[in-house]
Amino acid sequence: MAPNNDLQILSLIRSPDTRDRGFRMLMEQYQERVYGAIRKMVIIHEDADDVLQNTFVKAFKHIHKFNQQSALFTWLYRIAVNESLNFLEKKKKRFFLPLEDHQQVMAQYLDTSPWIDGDVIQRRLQKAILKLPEKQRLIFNMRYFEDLPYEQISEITETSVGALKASYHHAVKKIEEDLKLE
Amino acid sequence: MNQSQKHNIFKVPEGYFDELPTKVLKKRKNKTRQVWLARVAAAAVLIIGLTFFVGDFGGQSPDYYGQIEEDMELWISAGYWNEEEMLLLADYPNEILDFIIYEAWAYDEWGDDEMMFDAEIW
Repeated sequence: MAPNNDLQILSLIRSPDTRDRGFRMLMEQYQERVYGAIRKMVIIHEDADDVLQNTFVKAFKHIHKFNQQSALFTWLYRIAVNESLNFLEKKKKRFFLPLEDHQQVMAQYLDTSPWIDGDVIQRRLQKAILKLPEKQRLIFNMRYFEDLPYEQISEITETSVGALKASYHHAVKKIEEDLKLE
Repeated sequence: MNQSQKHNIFKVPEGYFDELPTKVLKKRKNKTRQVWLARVAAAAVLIIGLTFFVGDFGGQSPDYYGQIEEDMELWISAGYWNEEEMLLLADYPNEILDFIIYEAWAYDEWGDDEMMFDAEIW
């Protein structure tokens, strides 16, 4: 069910006179959380900015299809997840030289960008997460960093809770092994 | 893994989130405008084509009117005339505009032709 705040946002969006106010309220309410999820997937701020803007433009376009069976955040998160994964797929196809793949670009960004402020251990964790397959990385981020319950992750990814638990467990093992090696 | 590793290491430029809603709303309006202009062009081509058909050139063959429509589309795509100029050639430009604005501001602003997800991954 949609929370009360979502209902207020949706009611503003429904009326042409208050639509822009509704969209603005929707963004103010969720932009930081959605950005956080996207940024953890694409790592680079400029890429996260592009994906986030596309996520909201798509959400505005399709808001009339939102059926209120879930929270607006879950729905937005689902769009953000698909946008992020599609973005990474496109990036992969653009790199032809194996030495310069996008994963390396992201790992390098973690060490050199002024928009990263973690210590050595935190950056090492991020690099270990980067080595996971994308969908596993996504599930790990949702569970570990954002503390989302498995039921909500299941709604977003349309994957069974059992499969999510197994995927998270494998991800943790792989990350721990990777950290031990370094 | 411990709790300190959960700290968010990803920073954003100062004021980024303050400016973002305005930027996205502008982007959305630009997209709406692009579609709006495409609809103006389509409507103008249709109306002018009909005007030629029932107007002064009533005696000409259907091929002739088809050719006129094609020519008008070419003029627009070549940038020789723009959509607004074509609209001004129509007999009832205000009615066409009213109709287009009504359509453009309806809920389904950009039509359903574009998929919500480029490729549904999950």
